[in-house]
Amino acid sequence: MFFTYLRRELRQRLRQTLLVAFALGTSIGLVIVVSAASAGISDAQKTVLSGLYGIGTDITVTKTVLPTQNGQRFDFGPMGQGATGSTSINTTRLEVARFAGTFDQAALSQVTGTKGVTKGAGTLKLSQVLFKGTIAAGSTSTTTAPTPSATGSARPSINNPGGDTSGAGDRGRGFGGGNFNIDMTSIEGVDPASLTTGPLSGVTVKSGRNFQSTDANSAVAVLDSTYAKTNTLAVGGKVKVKGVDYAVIGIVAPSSASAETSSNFYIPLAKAQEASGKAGLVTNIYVSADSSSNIASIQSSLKTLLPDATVSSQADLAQNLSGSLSSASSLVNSLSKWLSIIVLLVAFFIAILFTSSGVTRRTRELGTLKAIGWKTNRIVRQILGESLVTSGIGAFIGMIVGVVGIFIVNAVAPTLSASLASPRRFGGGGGGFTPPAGFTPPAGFTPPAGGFGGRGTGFGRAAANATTLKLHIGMNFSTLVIGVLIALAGGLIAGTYGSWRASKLSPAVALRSVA
Amino acid sequence: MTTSHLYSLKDLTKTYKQKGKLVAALKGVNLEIARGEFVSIQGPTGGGKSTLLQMLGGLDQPTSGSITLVDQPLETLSEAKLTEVRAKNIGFIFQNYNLIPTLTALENVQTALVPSGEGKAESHARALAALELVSLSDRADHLPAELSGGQQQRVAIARALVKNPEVILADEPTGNLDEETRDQIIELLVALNKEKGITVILVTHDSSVANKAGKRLHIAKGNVETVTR
Repeated sequence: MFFTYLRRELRQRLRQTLLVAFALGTSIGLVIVVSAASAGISDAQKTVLSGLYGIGTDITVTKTVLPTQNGQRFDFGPMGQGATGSTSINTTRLEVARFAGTFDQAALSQVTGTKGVTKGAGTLKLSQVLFKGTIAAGSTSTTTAPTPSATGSARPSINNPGGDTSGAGDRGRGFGGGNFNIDMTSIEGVDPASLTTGPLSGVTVKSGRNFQSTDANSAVAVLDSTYAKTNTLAVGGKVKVKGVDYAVIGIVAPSSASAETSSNFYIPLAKAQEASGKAGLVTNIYVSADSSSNIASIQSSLKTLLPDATVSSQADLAQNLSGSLSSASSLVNSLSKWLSIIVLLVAFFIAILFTSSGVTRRTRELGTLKAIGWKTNRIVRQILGESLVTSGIGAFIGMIVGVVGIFIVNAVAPTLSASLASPRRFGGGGGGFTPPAGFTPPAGFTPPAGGFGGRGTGFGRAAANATTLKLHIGMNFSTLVIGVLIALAGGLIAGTYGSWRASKLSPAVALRSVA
Repeated sequence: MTTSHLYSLKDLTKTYKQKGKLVAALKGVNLEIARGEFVSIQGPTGGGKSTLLQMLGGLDQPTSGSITLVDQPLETLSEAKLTEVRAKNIGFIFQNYNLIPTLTALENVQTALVPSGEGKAESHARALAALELVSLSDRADHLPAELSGGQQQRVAIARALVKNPEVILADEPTGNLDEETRDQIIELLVALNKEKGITVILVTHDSSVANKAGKRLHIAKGNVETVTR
């Protein structure tokens, strides 16, 4: 009788049943799509971040150092004059990456000794600046290296000891012109024995090989594929680190095809420390946690252990992402989430309203059943059952809406861009310098088209790390289960309210209403 | 101590609160109804007919006094116990038939057997037999909307008698029927009373219906009187 009565009631009120089911279904579908999109965007963030920090890195430990007021300075020693009286400049600086502070390598042991930390790897991030060119006769030049602005645009300026980044022009005396290049390269020293955590943990070797533990003291280098392509370098070629040749043994790329790794190329840690005169020092410590639930506690422990350090989790790093990926993340996490909640509440309200009005309409019917001896709990079960079956239909519709929604999103596959705007990095921009309005080039000085400066590979890691990827959202079984459970919860709430009202009906009052 | 009386009402009162004032619907009713009697209750609107029927049906509790049905003092029973009494001993017939519109005639009759937990086959057989008794077995699969008023009331009678109750309480059972159908329904109730010995208590405004009863009661202003012929 239970199922016969239930089936007949739902069929009799087919329009109402379908309305409630569709309301629940649409909202559940929306929740499923939003949840899947959220997971998809989170995966996209992980993809971008894993390119920079490697797969399996849960926490990074760095130390931020504020730049000196005057910025970086190049002090050139005595240089020979050419036959025309011009001065040739060819100098290389290799130093710790801008804003990066160093740790004693012993800090790595402290970090790996922290409870919950399974692995740790230290790297030394370096910046190599090659300044090469000629300056016309009679000029005495002091060059200030580019100072990144807050927005990340790097502007090399000449004769600007005050660190003026406005590019306001030549304040020196006797600058008769010149032609030079600034070439900046980011180099990271990695421990060949600890590649499972850190920047090279998630890379794919495109050609050659990755480091081996026997490379620890060898002059070998592994190149980021984008850097290699830009500079037409291949395995077997050579790169220079402070004038010393390093053999290219491999070219790597992160799992996301269009992203880049965190540095232009990698050399063994010991060689990086030796070349930069930073023996026993590291700038970055990459940490793997034993469980994602322990990340917060490990982060807290490391902050206590290294009070001067910046301890960042993947979630913190994700906040430094900008671009449409970040916008999409904000959209999903704010607007879509609230939209889902509102639609869900409306659907619940509709379900409760129709169930309640159904009980009111059936007062005589339910009263009659009570009068002929049906127990209250049997009537409660009947109302609850009807509501749950309606919500079950809603869950089914919701799954279809969700699957179709995910299919549509994947068919459209919106392209998201992401760039890392980290304060610990060099600024963005193309590393170029565009002469400001009113700038009059000195005689004989021809600025290159589009401004002058480096080759765009050194200054702007943020710009260099800009990447695009197609959003792909996957079907998650647990999301579907949660969707079904939410629909059934809606049915349960509506049914409970309706059956509570039915249980309060007195058979006498129900029958009196007939009269 | 077992008595031959089906119902025994002593000093039964029922008062309602309406707009802050107490209204006495029943004022110290003393009444005994024997097994197998056919009783009609007449009276003006608002005189207490429906209230008395609710007391007899265990649908409401009296304010004071006592009412026993088959030696069970209804005024002391819990709601759950009263539900059991209704399920087992009382069959109801209503003016508007009160059939479940989404269930067939047979299924409507079966609803009365749900509380006793009757098996599916047994329930089907008993419901069909009850429909046979009211000459509607050929309409067993019809929905109420597909039946005439008289046929619907006969389904309601089948629902009332399928559980072999001690008493059938009928509230204006012919109020919505034409004269010919009214007579058929009353004849059916009289036949059930005589042939099956089921006690029938019916509330009616229609004197021609009331005249079919062996005992006629009149209720006005909460007081019950037996009408002598």
